[in-house]
Amino acid sequence: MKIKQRTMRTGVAYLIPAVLFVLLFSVIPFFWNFVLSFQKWDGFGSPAAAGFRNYLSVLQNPLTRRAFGNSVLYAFASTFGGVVLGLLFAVLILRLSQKEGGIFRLILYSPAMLPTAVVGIMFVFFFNPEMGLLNSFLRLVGLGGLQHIWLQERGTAMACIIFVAIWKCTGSVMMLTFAALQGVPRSLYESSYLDGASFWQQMKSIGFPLIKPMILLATINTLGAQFKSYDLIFTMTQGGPADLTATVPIVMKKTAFIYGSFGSAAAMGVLFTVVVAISILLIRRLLRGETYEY
Amino acid sequence: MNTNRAGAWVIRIVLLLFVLLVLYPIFFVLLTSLKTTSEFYKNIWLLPGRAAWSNYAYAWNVAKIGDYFLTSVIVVGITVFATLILSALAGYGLARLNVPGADAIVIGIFLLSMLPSESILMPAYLLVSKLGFTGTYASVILPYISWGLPLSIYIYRNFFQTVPNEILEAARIDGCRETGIFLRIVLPIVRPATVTTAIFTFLGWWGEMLWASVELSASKLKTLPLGITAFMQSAGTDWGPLCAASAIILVPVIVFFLFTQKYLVAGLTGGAVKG
Amino acid sequence: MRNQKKFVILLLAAALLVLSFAGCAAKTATSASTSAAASTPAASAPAASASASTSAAASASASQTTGEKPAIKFYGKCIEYTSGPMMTDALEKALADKYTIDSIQIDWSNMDTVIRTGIASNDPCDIYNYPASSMANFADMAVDLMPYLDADPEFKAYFSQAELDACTIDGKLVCLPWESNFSVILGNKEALDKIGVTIPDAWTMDEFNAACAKIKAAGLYPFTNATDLNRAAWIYRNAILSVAAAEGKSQDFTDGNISLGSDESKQALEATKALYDNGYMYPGEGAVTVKNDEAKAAFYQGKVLMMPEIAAGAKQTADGAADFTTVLIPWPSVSDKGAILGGMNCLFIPKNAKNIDAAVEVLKTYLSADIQKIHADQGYIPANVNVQVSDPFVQKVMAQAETFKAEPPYSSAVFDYLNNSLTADLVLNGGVDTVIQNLQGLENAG
Repeated sequence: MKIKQRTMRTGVAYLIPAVLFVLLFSVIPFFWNFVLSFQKWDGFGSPAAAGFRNYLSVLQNPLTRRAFGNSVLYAFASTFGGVVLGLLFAVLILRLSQKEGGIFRLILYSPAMLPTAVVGIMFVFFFNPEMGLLNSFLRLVGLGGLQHIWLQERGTAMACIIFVAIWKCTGSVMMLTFAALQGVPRSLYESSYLDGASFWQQMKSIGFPLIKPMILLATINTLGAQFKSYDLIFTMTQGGPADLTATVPIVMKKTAFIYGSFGSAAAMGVLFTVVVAISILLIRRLLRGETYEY
Repeated sequence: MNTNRAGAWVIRIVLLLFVLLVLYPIFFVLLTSLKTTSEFYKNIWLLPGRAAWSNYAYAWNVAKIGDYFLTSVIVVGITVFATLILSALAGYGLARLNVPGADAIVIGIFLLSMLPSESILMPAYLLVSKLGFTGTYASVILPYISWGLPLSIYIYRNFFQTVPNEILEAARIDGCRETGIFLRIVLPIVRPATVTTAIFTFLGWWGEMLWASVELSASKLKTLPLGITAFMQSAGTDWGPLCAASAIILVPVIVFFLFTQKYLVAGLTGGAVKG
Repeated sequence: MRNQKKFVILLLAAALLVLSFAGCAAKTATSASTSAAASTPAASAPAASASASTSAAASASASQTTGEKPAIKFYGKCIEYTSGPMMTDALEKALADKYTIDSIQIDWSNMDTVIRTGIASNDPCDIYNYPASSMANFADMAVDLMPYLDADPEFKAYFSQAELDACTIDGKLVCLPWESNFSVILGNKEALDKIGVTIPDAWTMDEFNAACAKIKAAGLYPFTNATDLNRAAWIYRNAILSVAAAEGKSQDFTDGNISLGSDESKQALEATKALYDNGYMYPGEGAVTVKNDEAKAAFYQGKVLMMPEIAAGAKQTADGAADFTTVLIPWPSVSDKGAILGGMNCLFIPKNAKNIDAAVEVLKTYLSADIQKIHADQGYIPANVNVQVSDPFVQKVMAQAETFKAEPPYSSAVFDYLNNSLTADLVLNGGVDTVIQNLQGLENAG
């Protein structure tokens, strides 16, 4: 049992520096924000106490309710798309040789490397109803009837932004799952290969279950990032038209820095964290798997 | 797991289709970087009449992208380095060193990172201001490290948990110190984790704009993404130089990526515990 | 145990290294408030550019030798204007022996955030740039400059009464303008001539619509209006100004006595809606979300013949249109009296700035005719009325400013609605009545 004590002490010692950092810039601001959510403040002078008023106004305002709905839809839809595609890419590349795979990996990861603002405006041109690539292409192949005003219509605006989000986040998922798949020794596939299993069967019964923790990580990470997403949506639609595509970060930033209502924005932040936390716990439950040692 | 020829080709074709879809916007950026802004408006999709390399010169010299580049390299470099060290240690501690309540700690840290950045913005800014180092390197590096730790710790912990306990036991019986075990045995095994964390941290902060734009707004120190926003002015966007600047941003990212790729696929355990 | 201890020590050393880097870097920061202890930055990275270290060193050495040479942070350097860096350089030189002026580049897209965080941390810049029309956002945080101007008639004479009125909220002069800016319409001369549309010196909405109909019949789009860059409600805002002018109530409107739910507002909304409903706006149904870049592209490609633009950028846009000549087109007025939407970029001093008197002096120097002339010579529109403009295109633009009228100080909620929701509500979500309802609601709430 002396070993256990010794390792515990080492473990705690290893943990402390990281915890200090997290305390400083995550925990403290988190509680500061929590306190702020019960106050009324415009950034100048001292804050005034406001009880639960901020929370009430957030919950009663149809705009913020819609923003919460949009955020959830956007996050889940883009995460789902990104994870499925990312996993697909990782598996496909696995079959190829190192060099080829490397090139494909680089290319498929490149969307993640472009600055979001540039990506946003680029796709605005892509979706432009008159000279955009999409509608031009539809006209070219004779499907002119399918043309839409993509970023304006109720039915398509959110979907288009989600499409771009998937485009951007697939690469990360691919990288994470590929790394995990790399860590699975080939020897583990041997026996099933000898039994005649096809590539896909091997993946299904051995590969995926073994990297389930990593899939979970990739999903949670993507989900968290998509919930926080601001730049992409803002550059494409500014949350419009008429707040149609507004998400919580956009409304929060506006409330805080344009209207000067930091208390309300803080309340939104707290509520939002609750929503995100619940979502993540949900995903964790769904994708529960065991960690295997190999 | 040998692939048959035909299967491999099908895969190549499928991947190529996706590649086209993925590459088009990058191609668009590169193409636009060689047009002057007014030429861009006249002709959005096609090739430029004459390559406007002046955009690059403008971005580098007038818009000072070169300076911002250096600042970004320093900031992100230090952040990645520090993050790797801190998260590897913490991840190992949480995975294998019997820290009480490890699961709860990990989830707790991770959930904290879910608070939207807009909420953290003001408190963190006020905190940095009170501590007196607004507008310095530290004011961006230290927060970046903190905010990147949750994910990195999570990744490292995951990978450490796949290292069989037998290895550790064996090393302990051999008389190795914990630190030695960590540095010489376990860490090399989880090299994919290190590479992945490095890539993620690098990419996560290379393009970070929200915090940098607020923290460094009144400072002479600016990171690369801020240089980009300088092209988006009140009267419209200057597309030629903007895309040139974006291309300049892309280069180190690609180089870094290619460089670390090797380590990702280097041989791994493949039988660490024999027999 | 020993190895472990060694390792922990190593770890702490690493942490200390990072933190000491922070401390060292803090000393090389340009923040003037810590300059008292500024040591020569030995370990400072090269990217902390030379001017940063020299200004820190300069203020340090200055405070050691000549006593206090206050440092002023001037958040007003506009690098997108060729005149921007020139003006700040001239400013720094002019006051070199009195103050160390740190001219900081304006980040237009993040201005609100930067200003609010700066003020909240009690360490703001001494002077901030901000558009006059939105100053209601910071009215209670800005220093009232009226006493300073009253005490200094020479300073007051820099500006016209109209300019000062536009910068006054609730009787307090919250900011001072450094440039005039307003909306103009640019036109494609050759295409318009070909269709047979003549541009008069002034025209009414009806005449404008007639011209648009002609252009539409020729298969092109007559008009457009970008919905980003705070331009979305330009048509409506111009219209309501001209309605007020026609009724002789311009001053009432500026004072905020005409409600946004009034008949005047309704008239303006109907005029705006008509343009969209008649299909005159590029690209047709997508006009509600068209961005400035899309509009500009269409204009350059000759698909749209008339496009609104901000006056300061007009010359550049005109020069950039390689295929045709660009002409100025007057804004149509709802009745026979013209009035156009003007705005000014201003500078204000936050109440918790460290050195208000010094800031005022810096303002006076920056807004003097000498430095404002630089702005004019580069083809822009200065605020100082004593400066002459030489560029003929700009002169024509400024001639339009004769009819410049100021808006009331809208609240940020109203402004946000104007810029982000008005067009959509007007054209898609219910029309004039919906907009009136919403505007009135926001007006009452603010």
